[in-house]
This record gives sequence, C-alpha cells and structure tokens, in this order.
Amino acid sequence: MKKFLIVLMVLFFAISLLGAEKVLRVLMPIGGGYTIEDQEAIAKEFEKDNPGVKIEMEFVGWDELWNKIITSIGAGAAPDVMYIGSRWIPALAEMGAIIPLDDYVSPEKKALYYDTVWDTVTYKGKIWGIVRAMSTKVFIYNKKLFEENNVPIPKTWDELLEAARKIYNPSKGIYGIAMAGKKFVSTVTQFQQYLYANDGRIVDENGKVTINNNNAVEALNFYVKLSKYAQPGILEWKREDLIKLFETGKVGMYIDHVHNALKAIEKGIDVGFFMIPGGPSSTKPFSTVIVTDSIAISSQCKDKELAIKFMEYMTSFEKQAEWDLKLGFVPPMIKEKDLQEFQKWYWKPYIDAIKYGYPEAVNIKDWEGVQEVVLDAIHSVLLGVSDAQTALNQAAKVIEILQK
Amino acid sequence: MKKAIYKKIIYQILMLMIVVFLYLPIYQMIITSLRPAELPWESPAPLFPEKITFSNFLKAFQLVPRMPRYLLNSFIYGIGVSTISLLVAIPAGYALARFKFLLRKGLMVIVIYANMFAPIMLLVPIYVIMRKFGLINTYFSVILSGSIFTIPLSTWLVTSYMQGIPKDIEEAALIDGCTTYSTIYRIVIPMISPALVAVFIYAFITGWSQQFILALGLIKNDQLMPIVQGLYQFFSRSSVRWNELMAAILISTIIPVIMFLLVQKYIVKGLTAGGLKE
Amino acid sequence: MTKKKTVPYVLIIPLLIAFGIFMFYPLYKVIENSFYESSFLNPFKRQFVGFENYKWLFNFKLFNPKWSYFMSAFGRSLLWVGLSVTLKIIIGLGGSLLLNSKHLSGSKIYRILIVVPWAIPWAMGAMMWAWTLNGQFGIVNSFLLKLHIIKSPISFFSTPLTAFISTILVDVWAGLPFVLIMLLSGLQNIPEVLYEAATIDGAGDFTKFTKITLPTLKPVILTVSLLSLVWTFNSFDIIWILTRGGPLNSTETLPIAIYNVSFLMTRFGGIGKASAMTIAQVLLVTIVSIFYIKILGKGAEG
Repeated sequence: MKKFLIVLMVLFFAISLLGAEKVLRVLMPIGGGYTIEDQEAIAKEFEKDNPGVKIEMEFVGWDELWNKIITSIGAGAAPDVMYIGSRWIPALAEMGAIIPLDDYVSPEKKALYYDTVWDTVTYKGKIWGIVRAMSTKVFIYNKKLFEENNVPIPKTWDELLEAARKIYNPSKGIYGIAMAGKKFVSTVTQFQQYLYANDGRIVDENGKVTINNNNAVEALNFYVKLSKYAQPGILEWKREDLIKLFETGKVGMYIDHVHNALKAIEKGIDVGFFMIPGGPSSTKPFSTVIVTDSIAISSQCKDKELAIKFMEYMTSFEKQAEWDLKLGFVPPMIKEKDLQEFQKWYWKPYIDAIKYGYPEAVNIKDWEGVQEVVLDAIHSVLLGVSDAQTALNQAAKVIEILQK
Repeated sequence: MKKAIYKKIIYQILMLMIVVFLYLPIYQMIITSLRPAELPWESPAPLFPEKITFSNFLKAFQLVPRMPRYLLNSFIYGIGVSTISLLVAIPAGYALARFKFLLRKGLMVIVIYANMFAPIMLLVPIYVIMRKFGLINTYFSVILSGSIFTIPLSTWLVTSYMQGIPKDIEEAALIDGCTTYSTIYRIVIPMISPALVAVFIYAFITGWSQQFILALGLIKNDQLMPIVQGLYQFFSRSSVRWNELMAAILISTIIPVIMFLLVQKYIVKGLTAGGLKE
Repeated sequence: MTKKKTVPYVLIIPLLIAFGIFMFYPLYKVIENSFYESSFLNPFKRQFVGFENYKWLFNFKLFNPKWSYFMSAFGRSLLWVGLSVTLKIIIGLGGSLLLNSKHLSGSKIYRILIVVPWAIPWAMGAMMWAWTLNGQFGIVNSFLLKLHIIKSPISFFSTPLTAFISTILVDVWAGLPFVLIMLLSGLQNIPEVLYEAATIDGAGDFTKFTKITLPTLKPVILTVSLLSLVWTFNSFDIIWILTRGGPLNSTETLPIAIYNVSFLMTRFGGIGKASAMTIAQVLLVTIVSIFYIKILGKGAEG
C-alpha cells in the first residue's frame, strides 16, 4: 500500500512537471481608461483557449510605463510582451530592446489596417509593433456659444482665430478656446496639431530636424496668438483636464478625443465637431495627429512564437472592435467603421480625419528627450521669454544632438 | 486686563491662520468628495457644496476597483516598516545610550548622517540588490527598503529618549540577576514605551505613504501596490475625476488619521525627550 | 561580567546589517557608477570615464547659456530649500509658542488639529493641493476673491514665480506638522521655574523669550531644522505631482533634475551622470549641514 502511494505520488509529480505551464509575462498600462479587469479578462480567455499557458500580467500606471520599461530592460528582466506608446518605438528599436515583426505580419493582417496606422509603428523601414489603440483628434465646439456670437465653422486659421476672438468674453468667464501648456506629453501633441496643420514636422520624413523652419515658427506663433483668447494660465492645464472647462459651457472650442465630447454631451452641452483646418503654409485642407499605442515583443523574450500568438489574439478583428467600442477609441482597422456604433454622427469627423493624419513621432529617436525640449520651447514663447524663431532654433540644436 | 484680552484675540487669530493653512486642502477634499459628480464645475468655485451626496464614496470603489487591496498593502507596508524599525532601533538605541564601545561615536554620526539619503538616490542599486536576493515583487523588498529610510531617525529617537531616563532601575535589575537581554525586554522596553509609540507611528506613516518612487522598481504587480501609487494612476493620466478621487483619498487617509488621534498624546511625549538631546 | 563587553556589539548587529547592505553598498554603487558612462538607453555598454561625469556637471549647458544644467538646478534647490525651511521654522516656532501659551484658549483642540495633517502622505497632499490651487476651480482663488484680495483668479502653476512660491508653500504644508510638534514638545520641557524667576526679576515677555526660551530651545530648533533641511532637499513627490519641474525649469530642483537625467534626458545623461549628480547633492547637503551646525550651533551644548 505504501509503495503504491509512493508510485502514485511520483507519477503525479511527473505529470505535473510534464504539464508545466508556459509563462508569458505581459506589461500593461492602467489609468486613462485602461482598467485591470478588462485586460485580465483577455488574458483569462487566452489561457482558456490555450491550455498550459499562463499569462502573467503586470500593470503599471501610464506615467511610469516608460521608466518601468527601460529599467527592466537594463536589469535584463524585460517583460516578454510590452504595451507601449508607439512614440517610443524608435528609441526601443535603437536600444535593441524590441524585435522587428515584419516576418510575423501576414499580408492579410496588414491589409486590415489603414496605411497611416502602420506608419506609426514603422521605423527604418521595419514594423516594430502592432497597433492596439488609435486616436485622431478634431475640434469639439459649443454650438450655443458659436450661434450666440454668429461664428461660422472655421475653415482657415484666420477664421479660427476670429472665432476664438469673437467668443472670448473674460468678464463673463467665457473663453474662445481651451488650450494646454502643462509640462506633459499631451501638450506636445496639442502643439503638434497646429504644427502638422501647417505642414511642419519636428523631424521630417528624411530624418532632418525641421522644428525651426518657417512652417513651425508660424505654427508656434499661432499657438501663442490663440492663447490670448484661451482660459487664463494655460501653462497649468494639460489637455486631459480641459474637458472640465468645456463641460461648464464657458468655452467655445478645443481639440480632444471623441469620448470626452460624449462626456460633455452627457452634461447637456450642445456639441458640434469640425476638423482642424490647415494653416497658411499648408497644402492640405485639414490635419490631425495620429497617436497610437501598440504591442511590442521584447528581444529578451524566449518564446517568441507564444508572444506572437498572444499578440495576434489580442489584436484580432473581434477583440480589437470590442476594445475600441469599450474605450471609445478611433478604430485602426478599416472594416471597423462599418460597425453600427461607428456609424453614429459623432464618430464621422474622427474617422474622416484619419486620411489627413500624420503619426506623432515618425523618425524621432528619443521621444522623451525631444518632448522635454519642445515643451521648453513652447513655455519660453508662451511666457514671453523668447520669440518663436529663437526658441525653436534652440530646440532644433538640441534635437539634432538627440537624433545622432 | 485689557491687554490680556487683546492678546487672547490676537493669539486666537494667529493660530486660526495656521490651522486654516493646514486645513485648506483637507477642506477642499471634503467638499469635493461630497459634491455630486454630475454637476459641472463652477468658476469661481463655491466655498460650500450646493448639494451633498455620498455616492462618490461608492463610486470611488468603481474608479479604483482594487482600493481595498491597495489599502491592505499599505497597511502591511506600514506595519512591516515600523516593526523592522523597532527591531533594529531598540537594541541599537540601547547600546548607543548605555554602553561605551569602540564604534559608538562613529555610529552615532552615521545614524544622524544617514537621514541624508533619499530613495531616488539609491533607487537603482537597491533594485539590483533586491534582484540578487530574488526579492523583486514581494512585500518584503518594499518593507526592507522602506525601513532603510526610517531606521536612522528611529534609532536616534530611541537613543535620546533613553539617555533622558536614569539608569538606576536597569542596574538594579542586573544586580538581581537578570541578563542584559531580559533586562531590555522586561525593564527597558516598558520604560521607553512613549518613544516606541512615537517611532512606531513615524515609521508606520512613512511606510504607509511609501514614497512612490521606491515601490516603482520593486513591484511589478499591482496586487502589491501601495495606496498612494494606486491612486496616483488616476491622477497622472486622463481627465482626473476629482469627486471620486478626493473621496478615495479621504477614505484612505482615515486609517492613519484615526491611529494618530488615538496615540497623539504619546507622540508628543515620545518626541519630547528625543528633541532635547544631541 | 566579561560577557558584558560583547553585549553592545551584539545589539548593534541588526543596525550594521541594515546600513551595510542597504545604505553603504548602494552608496558605493552610486559612487562607482559616477565614474562610468552608462545609460538606460544603452544598458550593456559600460565604460570607465574617470571624472568626465563630474566635469559634465559644470560643462553641460542645455538652454541657459550662462549656467550649466546642474548648476542651475543646484542654485534653484538652494533657494527653494532655504525659503521652505525658513518658513517652516518661523511658522513652526510661532505656532508652537502660541500653543504653549496660557493666553490661547482651546489649545488642547488645536494640538490635536495640527497633528492630523501629518498622517496624510505627501503625495496625496500634493494631489489635494493641485486641485485646491487650481486657477479656475480651486477654493484658494474663491477665498481670495471673496475677501477682495484679488480681482481675477490666479493660475498659480502657470508662471515661474507663482509656481515656485506655490510649490514651496505646499512643501511647508507637508513639513509643518512635524516641526510644530517637535518644537512644542521642546517648549513643554522648559521648566516653569525659569520663567517664574525671570518674572520676579521684572523681565518682560520679549526678554523672557530671548533670554530663556530661545537659548533653552536652541538644540531642538537645531535638530528640527537640520532634519527638515535634509528632507526638504530630497523632496521629490510634491514638485513632481504639482509641476513636474515646470513651467520652463522654474521648479526643477536637484531631485527632479536627477530623475530627468536618469529617465527622460537619457541621451544626454544616463545613470553615470545621474550618479555624479547624486554624489554632488550628498556632498552639498553635508556641507550645508556642517555650516549650519557651526553657525547656529555655537554655544549650544550637544
């Protein structure tokens, strides 16, 4: 009897060893609409469909995601799959921290997405991530304030400025436009909206630093001009918080996501949309910055097949559509726009904007560094410390070094 | 007599000013957490809530679903850090206060000097050490590294408190045949209990607050996240939902505040002697 | 009794282990790193560079043509810390004198009230202040408007000067309860007899303060201000949450700069340079503390 028990135990151990789980470590963000529950649900489902696989999800706040990634890479303990802001791709690719995915992306998969979407994850001709979330942005405006002040929908920068000026009435606490200026990533994106609308770039398609060319200077000057009709103290506001101002019904317009517009509608604001008009030096009528988050695979990952499988699973059409609907993101896959939800009127401008879009960080080798530099330039002009040309020349000089 | 009344009024006004300063953000937190989240903000903000609701306290748990877990974690960190601080500080403090030995002076200087270091300075090496010990992603790693920054002041407080009380009783106990160790346990610890309460509270609060930069590298799993970091996620990114966030902060500060109120007498007593020496 | 000799050494073992592993070894690592070129962006290339990182502290200029990046953060830190600690001590001393005075009615309640804010983690306090000082919706502006002190709301974090002052005030808020409690307990330890004797000699309130209170309290003031000096120098959470060092670099103190150099400006900085900055800060705080003790500590026993 005793022997039998021992044999049984040995067998049991042997079996459990054979069936040892494959573990995949996945780094995920929380905050900003990303909840732990939603993301863990995906892992659970994947585990159910793939017995013997264990997904170990690690969560970290968006604000700490970058540090977390680079410290864990440095310590040789990088997670296998990482959820990243696509703007970090060049830096991570240069570090050799993530692997190119061209071999794994089938032509069918590729055809699912808009071309611009792939541009956001391409660096040096290779694909380094699969897009998980995308955003375009357009102007959200308060119809009541526009009508009261007889303001037509702006189609040029002059009209935009004029609209802001007409609505601006500080004695009543009413502002023409809400703008961002806080030291934060979204402030750079807000400035980039105008930069791109004027055909300007931080770094152009060929890798040349163009943040100090005419188009850029014009854009920054316009940003400052507009800020005269914005809420006071824009340097303490980040874009994420502007919705609070807009919800009060005292702001004419501002640039933001669709899900924030929905919040304002909920609070009884009569909301309209218009696309960001092209600037005086632009060749295009409209513009928007395309921001994406993507999933990348660490070069320290041992089981790349499994990582790819999980990535494919997460970004399948069904899962992607489910995710976009849940979080209110612009659909990166072309077919998604046929879904009923995306037929709603408020989605149209955002989906239309995709074709005028340009990715936020093409060719920018060190986003975090560039961000600090651009913020410094924006601040010094907004504070009147220096003029746009000088500030941007200064920024260009530093960015040149960062691009090396 | 008249002068005394003026004095009374002026003192009262000055003290009120300090209290108002200390309580401004707390007041803001309370009125924000009581204000219905559906109401749009007003500028300038009303000084009293127009409508009161308690629903934000429930919604806080929807905004931060793992709040109970984060609170538990912080509690564990608080208790862990204060326990380790006491375990190190009591014997060390006793040795420093009662014995003359080779390293004494140097150690005393180091204890004071060690307050100099901030978590941000030692973050990377501590991370490497914890990895070597395989302690990443454990409560223990955060508790240990958190204690490092509370041990210096704790040791110093115990030392100075002990220097302030006479040796007679311990010596009597030693003569009665107690060993040094049982004397510490039976005689010294009860005698210095006010200082120990002060140390416990100081270390608990520090461990509870867990400077968020420290936990950053050591924890990979939000299951172990302390409450401060847990709530910071909802501050840094996306539009801050102030009503719910303030309710969440209010909920999470209640535990340390109650602890403080219960033992506040001892805190002052314990720090009293500590403040006067060295 | 021979056993007794080993006793103190046994008792300090835990302390030595804790300090050794988690303070001196990391510190040694930081010193070592400060002589190497290494960055998170390039974690596997590590190169000995001698004193290059220290030279970098004084050579590397980013936006300011006059001062190096390190030196400007250094100067800013000195000013920020100096103002913050001075305010904490002045308000703390005044407050504790009030609390200890017979003329203040309700001092028992006040004593409880001042302890409570200490229990709030600084990071949470900073989040609360961010909202309290908000230019549009914060109650500080509402108060000031109601009292007719200002005509239109102030956006505290939108200009370099107001942001600098606001972050200091929030730091004072965070550090004040500790200072108040420590100084109050110091005051309570001054024997009443001293004052009674002085009254008989016909001394006024002011004379009593300068002749009895201050000299007796001096060691406590010294310790409290030293601790508060060190903690304030290391203050990171508050500025990071409120302004991230902005607008421009107006609130970029040394800890913020070290963070930037380690994680954000990785291409210019990196671990090596951040380590050099750390060592420089430790030296700086040490020097300031020694000076402080030498100047203020004169005549104080201890």
